[in-house]
Amino acid sequence: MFTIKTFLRLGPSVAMISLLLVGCASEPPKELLSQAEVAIQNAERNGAAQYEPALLSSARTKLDQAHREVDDDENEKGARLAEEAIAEANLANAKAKAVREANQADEMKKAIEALKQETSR
Amino acid sequence: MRLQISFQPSSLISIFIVFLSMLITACSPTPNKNLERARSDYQQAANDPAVMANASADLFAAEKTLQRAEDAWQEDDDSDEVDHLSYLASRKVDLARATASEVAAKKTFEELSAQKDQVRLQARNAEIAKLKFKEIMTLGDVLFDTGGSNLKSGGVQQLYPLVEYLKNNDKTMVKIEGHTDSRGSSEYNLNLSQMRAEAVRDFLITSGISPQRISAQGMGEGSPVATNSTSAGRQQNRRVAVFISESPQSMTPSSFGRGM
Repeated sequence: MFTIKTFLRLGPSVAMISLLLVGCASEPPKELLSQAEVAIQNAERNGAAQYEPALLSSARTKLDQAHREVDDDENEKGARLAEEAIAEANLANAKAKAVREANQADEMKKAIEALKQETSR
Repeated sequence: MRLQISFQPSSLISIFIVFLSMLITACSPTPNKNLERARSDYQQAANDPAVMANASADLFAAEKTLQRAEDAWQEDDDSDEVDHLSYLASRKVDLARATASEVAAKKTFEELSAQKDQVRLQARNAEIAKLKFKEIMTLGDVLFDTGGSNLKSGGVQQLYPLVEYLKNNDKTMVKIEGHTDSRGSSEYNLNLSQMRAEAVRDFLITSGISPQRISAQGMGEGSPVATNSTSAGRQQNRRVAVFISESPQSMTPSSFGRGM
């Protein structure tokens, strides 16, 4: 059972691990860089280039910058930029999807109007 | 003369409080604009019922990032980290808003497509109502088991010429009406006649006739063609009538007379 006692016992090791993680921040953030790449490709697949070009290109720019920072051993800066690229790409993706859904609803509305007019003729 | 300085206990306490608050002021970080914006972005989204209803998971993710930003600010981390986390939190709030509008648009779309189906059905019914139909065959109750609506194989054979005719005249619409005799409740009969009409329709559909060309309706016991007081009359009343739309190019072939 997970009790407060076990939490207290685990406390120090959790602290150790987080210290380790902080230590890892100086490692190249490879995971974040590839996550950002995937997020951008996802957004592109969902039409973000068409519906959210500014946001998508900002994500792309930040990812490129992240790569440059990591190349210069500025891993913390690189990690931040990669995280921001992920957030922007995800946002571009969601916005593009929202626009597409709204467009489909609009088209459906028009189709209904056309059908109604056809019937009333 | 001796200078006497004496402190009352209460003034000691107030001096201590002033000192303490000076300490706290010194410790508390200066306000961060990005964090303030993230807070208000989050608060607005959290107060939006549409976001709460349709994007609660995204909103929760944004809240967690905002908390990280608050923690970084409290711990007086460098402002780059606070800015960064605040920026992330704001983008995640935007994401929650986008998700909410996507979900809302999807719902609208689904409602509209149900509406479109309805309009299309009405249009088709109006179209059919405008057509002139003539009865081309009446299928007797040998088509079905007593009280049932499964087509018997003998009944199916009676439908083959109809299928052939409809395939050769692909502009023709077909109307199928089920009728019963007056035994049993009228509700039971209405239901039975509907199921029988639909059984014929389904057979036509499986034979490759477009559902768009077929309407099927149960008429119950209300349209007898003979008396219900004799068994011969009742047998005539138990029937499925088939009508086709009249149009110049679709003449009824001679091989396709009144069925039975």
